[in-house]
Amino acid sequence: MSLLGALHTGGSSLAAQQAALQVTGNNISNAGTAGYSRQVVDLASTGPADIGNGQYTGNGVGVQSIERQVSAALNESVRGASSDQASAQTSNTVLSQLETTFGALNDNDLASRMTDFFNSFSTLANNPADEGQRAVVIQNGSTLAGYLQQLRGQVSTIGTNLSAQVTSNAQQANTLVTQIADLNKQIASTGTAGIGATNALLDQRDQALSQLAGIMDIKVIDQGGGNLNVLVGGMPVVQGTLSRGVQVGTTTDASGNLVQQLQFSDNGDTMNASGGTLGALLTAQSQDVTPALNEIDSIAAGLIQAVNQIHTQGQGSAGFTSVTGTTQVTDPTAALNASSITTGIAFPPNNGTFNLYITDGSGQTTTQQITVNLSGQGAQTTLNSLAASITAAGGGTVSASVDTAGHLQITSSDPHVTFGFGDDTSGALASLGVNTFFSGKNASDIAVNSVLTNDPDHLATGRDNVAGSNRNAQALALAGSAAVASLGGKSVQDAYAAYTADLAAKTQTASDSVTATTTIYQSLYAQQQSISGVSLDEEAINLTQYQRAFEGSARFINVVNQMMQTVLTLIQ
Amino acid sequence: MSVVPLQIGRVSMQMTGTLLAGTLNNTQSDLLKVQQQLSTGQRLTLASDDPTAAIGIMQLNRQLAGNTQYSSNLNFANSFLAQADGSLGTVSDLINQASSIASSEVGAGASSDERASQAQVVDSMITQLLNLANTQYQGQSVFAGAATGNAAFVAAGAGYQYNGSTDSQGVLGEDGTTIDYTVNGGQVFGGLSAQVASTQSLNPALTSATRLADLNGAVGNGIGTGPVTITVGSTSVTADLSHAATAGDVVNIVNAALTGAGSDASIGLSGGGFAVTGDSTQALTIADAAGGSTAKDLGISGTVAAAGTLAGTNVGPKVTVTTPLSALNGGAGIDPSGIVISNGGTSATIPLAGLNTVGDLLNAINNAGNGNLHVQASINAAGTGINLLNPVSGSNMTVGENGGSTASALGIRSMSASTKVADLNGGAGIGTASATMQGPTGQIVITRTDGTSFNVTLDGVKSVSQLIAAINSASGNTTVTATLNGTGNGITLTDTSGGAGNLSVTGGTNFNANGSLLGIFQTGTGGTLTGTDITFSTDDFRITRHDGTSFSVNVSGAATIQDVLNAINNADGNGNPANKVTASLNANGNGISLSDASAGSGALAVTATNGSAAATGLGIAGSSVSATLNGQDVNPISPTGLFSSLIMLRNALLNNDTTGIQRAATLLSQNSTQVATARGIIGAREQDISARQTTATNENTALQSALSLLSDTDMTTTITKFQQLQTSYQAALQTAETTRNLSLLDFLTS
Repeated sequence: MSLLGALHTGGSSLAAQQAALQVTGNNISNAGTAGYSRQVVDLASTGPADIGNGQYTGNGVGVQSIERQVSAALNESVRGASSDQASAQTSNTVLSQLETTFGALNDNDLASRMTDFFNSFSTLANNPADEGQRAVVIQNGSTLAGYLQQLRGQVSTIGTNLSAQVTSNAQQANTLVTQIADLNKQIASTGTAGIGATNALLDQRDQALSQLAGIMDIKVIDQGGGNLNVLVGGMPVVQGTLSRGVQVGTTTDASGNLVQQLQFSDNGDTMNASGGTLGALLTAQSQDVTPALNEIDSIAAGLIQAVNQIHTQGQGSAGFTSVTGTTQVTDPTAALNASSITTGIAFPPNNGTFNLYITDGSGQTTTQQITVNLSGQGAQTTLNSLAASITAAGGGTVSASVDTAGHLQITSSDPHVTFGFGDDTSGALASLGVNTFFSGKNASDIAVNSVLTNDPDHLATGRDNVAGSNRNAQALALAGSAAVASLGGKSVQDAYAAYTADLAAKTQTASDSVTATTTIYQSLYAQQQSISGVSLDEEAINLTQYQRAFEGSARFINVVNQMMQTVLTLIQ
Repeated sequence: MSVVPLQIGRVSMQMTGTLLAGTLNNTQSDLLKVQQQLSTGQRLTLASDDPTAAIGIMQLNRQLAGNTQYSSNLNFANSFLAQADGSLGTVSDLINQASSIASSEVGAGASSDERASQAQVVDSMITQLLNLANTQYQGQSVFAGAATGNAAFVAAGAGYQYNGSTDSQGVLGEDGTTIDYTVNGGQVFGGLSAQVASTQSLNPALTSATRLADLNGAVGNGIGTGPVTITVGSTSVTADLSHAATAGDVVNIVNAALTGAGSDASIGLSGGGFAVTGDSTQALTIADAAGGSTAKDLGISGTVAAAGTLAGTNVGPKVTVTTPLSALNGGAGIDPSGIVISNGGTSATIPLAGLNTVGDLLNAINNAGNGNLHVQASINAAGTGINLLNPVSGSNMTVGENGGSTASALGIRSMSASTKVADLNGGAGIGTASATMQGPTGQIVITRTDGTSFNVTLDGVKSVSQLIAAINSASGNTTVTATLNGTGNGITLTDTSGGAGNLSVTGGTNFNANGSLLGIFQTGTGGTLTGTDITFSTDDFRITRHDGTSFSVNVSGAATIQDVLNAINNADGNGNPANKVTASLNANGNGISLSDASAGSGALAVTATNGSAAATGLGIAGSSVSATLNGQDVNPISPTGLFSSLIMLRNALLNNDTTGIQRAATLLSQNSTQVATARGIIGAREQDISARQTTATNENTALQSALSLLSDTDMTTTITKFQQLQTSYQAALQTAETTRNLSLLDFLTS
């Protein structure tokens, strides 16, 4: 081997150590960069160089490769764990919001308000004629109704916020899939440029993938040649350099409500995204928020029904001279228990009878039994026929009609003749909103019947037309713990307690799941970091090592140079 | 706090940073939670912190709220009863005062002026009593029963009317039970002690509008609605009566099922039950579905042969305000003539014409005399008939016919055939010439026409027929026959001995008439001796006919009005249809009516004999020139309460009537017992309530402590935990500070 060759050997080392130092420097610079994978220079001896006598050595060192330290399998696991963690965190957030809204242990939650409301009836029963206590009961009723509406509004707002989050997350996902497709393209085209040319792009792509995994559960398939495909729910959303895009559309769910849905932008097909923030948001919408809304509505409907069914059995301290039902009947010629779509009656009545009490100026009360025939045999009672039978029983003074909007209207033509109701086995009065406490059909429109707010004397505290009777007030005080068929035989108070207990258990599970997924994620992240993370100590050692190698090579060149000079002096 | 499992070879800078941040974050959030527990004293901020405990807390909170309400209800009831007790205490004083007035004024020493002035005192006591009876607690009448919104007593006519209810009202206890707190003033002040309870079951027929809920059921268990299986030949169908509400529904649904089974059989209403007309060709069976009782309750369970019929069992429809009058008496209806009711000074006739339902009738009675009659009519508790109540203390009510049989049909005649004689005149009875009074004793001597004579022993003879028997069977009597005379007011003796003298009767050994008039102490004409008016000392009154003849009646053994009627109609001397005096209940109004078949110008008259008060007591003393003599209703219904007693005392004092004062004094002592009993009941209730209050308080304490266990922060544990967390947080910060600053780079020298 010639001396000149030896100079080359030293030179190659200077270049290689410099490159290695460069990589080390880059690693140190990116020690804090998220998504950066440390790079390792692979130096290799070049050669062989003939040093004479048939003996060979290497002729220096060269940079073989600059490798990113990554484990594709581990990355996939970390992405999965990050998906799970994001999902758990999102559903925990939603459930916590719901739980806070319901405020089960709060002094002002629905249970306390219901207790206050029903207990005020118990107090009223102690003194049914007390105007003040009547006002308290009506006020408590209004507060309860208002609170139910408010609660529904708050839960509904949580739902609206979720929708907005779905939209923004979908937009982000869309940006990310586009970015991944672009990066695929760049990596493929840059791949041939030289050693380590694609490392930065690969880091960017890994970073985008892990961000996307936080949004939804993805599967990554390496296609080779720098390309990889991304699958969501088994369908590709990125195919090499092509992004199909993510968008939010709507669909109808089982109960006929319009709900959000993820779609592929290119053809509008449904994207079955699970996991991640988006998956959790969509699940929370259908599993948590919608059931919460339904629960509030059922409780409100149960409350309306339970209270009204009893309230209509009683009489207030003053009779009616005119009353208009709160229920708007859309088809007054349909049987009262026909489908509520036809009739517009939220709580259909049964076959039965009720009493109409007509009290004349001298205080004489006549009892008329009104039959509500919904037995399936004979002429079935419609709103029109009911009005006709009330008029027929009204003795020429009390008459009923159906107004243009479809409300039952009963009036007395003589201001001294009043009327009242009771002994209703049909539930028709409660159905039609006559002599009821609440109006409305669920939490969206529950309110105290304006008849009562206008005149608290119509609060039906008594039964059997006995002045000062408290029988109905007592029955109403117990309405909160009475079984309601529409709540599966639970009372309204029990139904609420059961729901909040269920919600609490769900929230606790969600919170536990956040801890569990976080632990898994952190553990996997630590493993990933142990491969890809930059250790400054390690880099410091590398730095010293390359520096020393560089210095050694430089000295080697110097030695060779002196040797050359020595050789050149021979020529003088 | 969770620990991240680390199985790693290399430690990178980002890893230590991230893990450190995570650890600090966790510790800090734990610290915050503990801090919150310490500052609020509540272990749970959200139910999800401990769902199991949260369920318990919610449950306990509800129970506590219920308990608090219960306690407040009990306090209310207690105060209410205390108010009642206080008022009754004053009422007791009032009774004592009135009693002492009565006892001091009853004697001969009191002058009429003195009594009149004391009457003023009693009058003011009545006003005071009215105020006490109308005591209110928080605007509610204490003594009005369930009708707390009404004044318990109001002035009505000459007396005072109980305006309250006989039902009581309660506060809500635990588990939906009620604890009565109202007092039935009717009981305390005697406002409702008397009523005409229907003696007649009105037995209404079914109508298609009759509610199944108003039926007693064929077996007395009401109607359990459910499916009924109908088998016609080999076809079986189900008639679902689960939602049937009225008898009409039953008919419609069963008929539809029969038609559905292809049968021409049908069901209808018949009297107080259902009736099935069988299929013309096949047997028909009606049975309950397994476990049901509907067919049995409706009385239609059974098999009907082809072309046969099944008369269902009576299902016992109750009388309700909506029951049509035409449906009463098994559908036969009620005589519409009407009833006559008088109360105090007011009398009203209530014809049934124009009234449709029982409710209409009740209203007509309640509102009779433009509301001045003050009679309360209601359906009895069993739902079988109607009751009439005279709520006005110090006033008499009578109920009679208006020429027909309405009152009897309704079972509300105040004096009916079954009325007990002992109950008449306000329980005073009729004061008969007592059965212990003696008839004649000793012997009489009958001298025949032939001059011979024989003795008749009269010991134990107390009636005409006994006298006739005694004479006819006297020893030594072979020729003298005693018979009732033609007019029936005496006996006729006939002697067949054929002597020339005149038959005569005289007193004999030890004869003592003891007040009786035998009418035979005279000398006859030949063998005939016609006796005159005969009256035994035990006879209560004598009835004189238009034709001047008369007979004597003994009612001492009569227990009921019917017995009295029988005693008159079957009296000795009243057996001849030609001049029979018939006693019956008045067809108009009430009372006993006598009608005389004889002709004559004399008056039909009833006169008391032997000092008996029975004729007056039965309301028939007097005379009439017309064919009938209408008596008075002597069974008027009047409340015998404190108001009545005081009114009686006042009136007696005013009228200087010592008997009245005496009677009032007796009644007052009864009233005193009534009030004492009422106070006893109230006291027992108060005791019950205070026992309940104690229980409620104990329960409250138990609930509070259970709640505290679940919801309150355990300070010792939590503070210890806080310190632990604080220590580990500090340690984490310190180690972080140290390790983050360690780097090999620091040790490399250039």
